[in-house]
Amino acid sequence: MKCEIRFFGMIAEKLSLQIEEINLDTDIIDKLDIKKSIITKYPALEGMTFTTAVDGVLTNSINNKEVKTIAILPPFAGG
Amino acid sequence: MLTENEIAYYSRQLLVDEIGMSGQLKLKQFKVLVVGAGGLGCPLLQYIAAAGVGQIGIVDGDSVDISNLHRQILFDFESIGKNKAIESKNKLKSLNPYIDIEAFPFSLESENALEIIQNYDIVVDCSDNYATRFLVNDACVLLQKILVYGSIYRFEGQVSVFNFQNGPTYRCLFPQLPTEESTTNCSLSGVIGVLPGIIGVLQANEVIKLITGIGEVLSGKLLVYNALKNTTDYFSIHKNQEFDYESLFKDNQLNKKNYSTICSNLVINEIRYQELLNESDQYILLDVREVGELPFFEGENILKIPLGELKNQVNLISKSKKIVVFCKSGSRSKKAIEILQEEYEYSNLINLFNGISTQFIEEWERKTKR
Repeated sequence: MKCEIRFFGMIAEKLSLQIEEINLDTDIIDKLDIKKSIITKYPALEGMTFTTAVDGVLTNSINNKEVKTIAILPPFAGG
Repeated sequence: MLTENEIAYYSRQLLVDEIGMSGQLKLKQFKVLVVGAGGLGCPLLQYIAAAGVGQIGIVDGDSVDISNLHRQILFDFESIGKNKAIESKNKLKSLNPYIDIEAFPFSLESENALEIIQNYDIVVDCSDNYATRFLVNDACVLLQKILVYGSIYRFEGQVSVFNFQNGPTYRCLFPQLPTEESTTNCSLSGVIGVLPGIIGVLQANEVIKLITGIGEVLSGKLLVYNALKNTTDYFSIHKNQEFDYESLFKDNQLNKKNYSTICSNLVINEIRYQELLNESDQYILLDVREVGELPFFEGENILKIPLGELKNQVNLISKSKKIVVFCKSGSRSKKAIEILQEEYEYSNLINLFNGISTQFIEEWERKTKR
């Protein structure tokens, strides 16, 4: 199943990517650990701090079969 | 009660039914502490002061610099060199003489945070570094204070209200201090002036709603604003019941070591690869990756010393020429600079932000072979 990944802040900058379509079944290999799966797919994110949201709710796991969007949200320090 | 002059000052706000006299009196009775009088703090302070928040505390140990003026528009050329907390207080007093303002002209630290914060009802985080953000959050949890959070990165900003009616805290979003990989601020990454303006005003809006009890408070939600697209995303945050705050606090006190990871005074300058390409003839590069690590990158002005070998080969590194240190991600190179600056007194080193990429190498080779 196709799903959209949205990258924010310095993660988007690091990957030079703001949005990408992935295959949920093959790209998110561990549905109970999205972060780990994301790092496996995007190794440049190794060591970076971020949180994940599925369809607008912060969580690190996928319970539903149908997922539209996964957001990758790093913290911002600036003020 | 409000005086005649105060009624005249707040007249347009008093006309708003949802605020009225009772809301205005609530604003007057509340005490709000603002941590950081910078890009976020300046607009926020202007609006909450003008709205009539009765007692405002401002914590900031920094002085105004010319590079602040494009976004910290509470200040002007006369402000340069003056402490930001004191200068903010002076500026705000002339904006609204009917409120009390206290300046704390020093940084918030684990040693003074509880003593300062305990006297306020709401705390607003307008700081510019993770250590302070976690410190403010933890102090608010310990003292059961509401925290209005705002932060920015280049064209994006985040806003939320934490610790409101036993709701989520900052650590429900990010449990631990970020790694150095994720560490940058406005002085490193740059910022357009309007972004902290927008985010600071959104924070001020939350403060006014919290005090007057109108509207929906941004608790349990993270607002993410993008200035380039002019989009706003909302993400629901659930309280992380598993996070063990008790282990962070000893005898109900903040523990300095929890906030010291990236609190060091060491300043590491960074350069972005486009800028480096534009000035490629001015720098020597120092590659601190392991031998054989990909992508391959060799050339006349590229010195290769793996991080683990740094101390043994330090005599090969010039102290006079400008050197850009790099690795794959920008993390090991930062560590290398830390070692060279602290232990060998180097002052000519710059970190390559985010490390090298194949694209960078191709462009560098094209440029230097010309």
